[in-house]
Amino acid sequence: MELHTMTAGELASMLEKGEISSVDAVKSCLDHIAARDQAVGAFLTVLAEQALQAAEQSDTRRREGRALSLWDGVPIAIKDNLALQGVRNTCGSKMLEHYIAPYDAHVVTKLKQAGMPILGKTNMDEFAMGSSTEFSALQVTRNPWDVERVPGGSSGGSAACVAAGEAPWALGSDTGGSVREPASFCGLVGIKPTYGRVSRYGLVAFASSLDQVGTFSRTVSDGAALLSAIAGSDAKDSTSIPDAGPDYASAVRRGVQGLRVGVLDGWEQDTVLPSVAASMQEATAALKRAGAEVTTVSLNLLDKAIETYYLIAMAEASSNLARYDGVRYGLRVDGTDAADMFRRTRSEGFGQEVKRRILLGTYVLSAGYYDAYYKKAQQVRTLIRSQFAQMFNDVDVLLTPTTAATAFRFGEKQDPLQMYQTDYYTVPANLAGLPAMSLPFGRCEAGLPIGLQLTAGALQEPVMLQAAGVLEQVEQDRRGSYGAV
Amino acid sequence: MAQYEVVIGLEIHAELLTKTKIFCACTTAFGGHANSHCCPVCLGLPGALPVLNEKAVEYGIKAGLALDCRIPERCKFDRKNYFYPDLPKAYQISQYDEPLCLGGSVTCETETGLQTIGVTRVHLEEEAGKSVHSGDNILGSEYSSMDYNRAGIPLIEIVTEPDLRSPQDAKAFLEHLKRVLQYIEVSDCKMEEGSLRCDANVSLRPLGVQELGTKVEIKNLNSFRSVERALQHEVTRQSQLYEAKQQVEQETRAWDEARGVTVSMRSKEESHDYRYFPEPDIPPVHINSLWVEDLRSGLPELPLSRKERLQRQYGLTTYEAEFLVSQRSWSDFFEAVVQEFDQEKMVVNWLMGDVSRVLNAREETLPQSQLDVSGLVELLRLIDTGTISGSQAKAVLEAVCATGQPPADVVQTLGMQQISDEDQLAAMVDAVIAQYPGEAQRCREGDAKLIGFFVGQIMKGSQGKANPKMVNELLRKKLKL
Amino acid sequence: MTFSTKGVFLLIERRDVERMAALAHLHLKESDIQQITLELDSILEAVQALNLVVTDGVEPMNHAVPLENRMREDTEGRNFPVETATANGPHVVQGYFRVPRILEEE
Repeated sequence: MELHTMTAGELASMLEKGEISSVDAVKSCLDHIAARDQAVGAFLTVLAEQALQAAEQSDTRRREGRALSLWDGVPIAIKDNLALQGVRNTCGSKMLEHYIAPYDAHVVTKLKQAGMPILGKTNMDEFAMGSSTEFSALQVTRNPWDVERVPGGSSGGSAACVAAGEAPWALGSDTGGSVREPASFCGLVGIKPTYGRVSRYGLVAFASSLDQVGTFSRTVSDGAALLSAIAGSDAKDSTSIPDAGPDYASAVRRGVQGLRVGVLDGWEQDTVLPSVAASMQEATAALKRAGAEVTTVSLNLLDKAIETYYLIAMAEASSNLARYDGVRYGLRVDGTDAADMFRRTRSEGFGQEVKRRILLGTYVLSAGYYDAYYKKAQQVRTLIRSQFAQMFNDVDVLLTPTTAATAFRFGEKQDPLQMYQTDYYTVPANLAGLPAMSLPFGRCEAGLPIGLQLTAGALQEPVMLQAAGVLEQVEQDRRGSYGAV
Repeated sequence: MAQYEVVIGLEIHAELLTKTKIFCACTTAFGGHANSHCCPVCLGLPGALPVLNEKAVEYGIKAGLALDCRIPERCKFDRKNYFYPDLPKAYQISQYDEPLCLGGSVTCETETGLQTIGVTRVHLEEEAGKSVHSGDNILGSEYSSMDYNRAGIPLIEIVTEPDLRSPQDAKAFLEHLKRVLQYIEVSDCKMEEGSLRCDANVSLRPLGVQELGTKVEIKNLNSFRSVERALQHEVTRQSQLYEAKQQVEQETRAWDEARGVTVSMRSKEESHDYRYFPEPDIPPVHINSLWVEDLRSGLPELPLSRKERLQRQYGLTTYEAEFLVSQRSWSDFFEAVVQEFDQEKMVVNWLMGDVSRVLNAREETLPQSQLDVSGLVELLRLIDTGTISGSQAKAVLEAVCATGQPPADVVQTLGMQQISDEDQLAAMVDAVIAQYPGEAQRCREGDAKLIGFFVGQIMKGSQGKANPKMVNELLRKKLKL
Repeated sequence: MTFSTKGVFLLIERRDVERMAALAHLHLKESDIQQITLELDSILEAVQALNLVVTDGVEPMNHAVPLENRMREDTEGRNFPVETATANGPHVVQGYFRVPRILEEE
């Protein structure tokens, strides 16, 4: 039996029946990491010993009837921008290569409270700035579907490890699509919750008003379950929504009878791969067959979202990344005086893309330019949010491609602007603070997975999961399998 | 000099007396080992987030109300971005365009009479860490050592209008402001410990001209004296430049206390670009008007009006009232004592005299001291009833402050009770007259000065316990004077 | 006003990039400045599209969720022991983080 290809739900049910132990599940993942990760490069840090120890404790709890949750003993991987006490927290950067987090992120505490052994920490674009994980300063991560291609990013390591069968599920973070785009490239379900639904405490900040922790899984049900496990208010995050959140898992099999699904007016004119367009058509038809009502909607500011997003994200990043100065933690390159030390440290510690964004972010906040750039972007952001709010009067969920194309080859996108365009469909949800998810639906000519995106109104994750549940059923019926390759 | 008007505005930073820091639950206690009052938030660790301390907002509002400010319904926080080793996140969370308090004023006494100074705004922000330099000063040090215990202590920044017209007025205003903040118990305002700091903007303009001259910002003013001295120096420097028909540069200058001069820190061109933007980690704060009214009604009487009332109500002199309001604890103490013991003059004399002297000697403040209201009332009554003499009372006061015992117990322990029993005193008087028959005779013959000699002998024989007034009367009766 | 080698008007100039690098405490290699200037310029040029959106009187969106008054009580919580607080410090002496001489006063 290949435990590592199973879904978290299947593992949980076998654990409950006593058919397997948590140690079996963890060992299976660790064996697979040992066998495959050389080629995939998903993990920056593998926590074999800790994970096995946690699995043993979980098994003891199960034997004594003290299981902490349904998921007690089901292993998980986390992106390396989430703080795990006593373990290095690199963010894919030379700056933090040797930084050991002295505290747990809120979501890590939640995983521990649910009894999930943490397998390790996964690779990412440096400080989550990128869409391919090529900007990791520490390691290359390859797409398990085709090792010549990128896994997407910035949470490329989390996506790759789940797709490669190295972990049943994983956590990532999504600032402009960093969960959904790699989920799409790796044939996984990726959920970015409503902003504030999951605490950001312990998530290393890239763009604070856009960042949100998200999930990778092989099934919609697993995604819903993992979201339930990490959602809820946190007194340490002033932007977290002050309630526990509903049970998401029950929404998945609710169906879409009467659900109003929107598709963007004229989306067929977008430059998407023909196979992506075909997937969109099939998905629309499938939802209609299942009882949903499909209408066209328009969001005319959508084509301004990328520019709006990059201005805001870069401005916030320039401030968030200023703390890496070589004084309290992380890399230090000594200098003749303190300011010289700051400059040398930051110049050596940050990669080119990070520097580019810091410089531009500094520029758009600087005296004389603030109103023209940063404030302007925040105003357009307000308009984008109200367009979404209006649209969600007419529909319950919006269906779009996650990305216009499937996973690209290493080095294919050299121009920063070209890379930024990858996020065309994903950034609007971050700007408006809305929940959105990607799920695999169809394959391109090259046999790579295509991802479709569902976006819902604020805190309407259940609606999004209802539609996802229906589409997943269609995909499973025709393919007979999911997830891991 | 005479043809220029001096224009001064102040920016004052005061640490708030909350138990914990403004954005995390670390203690604000002074001292402790370096970096022992720190957590992920105040160290600026990757991933940590700020959560606003409600008490800091409350204290900020109280300060604004005491300075007669308007409290807008909404305020927000912003990031002020700059690099400095003492600033953990390389940005300070502060308030930029929507501060907690706006548009107030303060009336204070200065050498030139009562003056009203406009308050532009009061806003909340976080304190930076502290650097310890290896050499005598920052610039002459090979390295500096950073301690973040102070990082994140809440501060209010109070910005005044350019309404001050002399260095003396600036100092008087600052002293008044300190007193107000202490009265409302939001800051201890210890300039020597750095919990009150002041920067000043100063410019000159020809008399009669409305337009403001080029202003110079002066930093590093660490005492009330240095505020006055630095401003005085700067006024002289600028007026000399004008006299010599030279330009005053818009710049930031630092006060060098040792040399008594201001020195240029940075020009306008080198001034910081702080790149303020709204703090995304902290949602805006809506200030409920009921909360504001509640805080307003809880404010104590402020020093200036209290001083006037004390003079009016108790017939005190300006000097006495000024002494009492200099610290809220003294005027509170005074008013509590006179509730029980209605000889106001005697109370204020004791407070200004012996109580101050004893506390100074003990290096204690009134609230720290073991002397409480009932203790002083009891002591004054013992004097008033003649149970102890004035000089004995001083010894009793010292003992009360040292031991915390009630005055009556001290009097007992020290065996100080006065002898006021007439028979007992009469026996003493008879004995002394018998001992010095010659002197007694001269006395009877009219040499009244000798009374003093007899009183002295009796006091000596009774170790000071005999009631001198009664002894005097008895002697006069027996010697038929 | 400067023009790129292609004769195109530039929104950002070399000295802007140098000023930003100084503010952000980044040292740019001489060889990188030219390229970064052009890259930033092309990004800023793309961003000009936002000028087509009318935003007069529109409130800027500073937060993704409309929350307010998230405050904590003034009660003390756990803090780090000195050893933990300084464990990641690149140069720690007796519990202090040491930095080279500071040339500027704040």
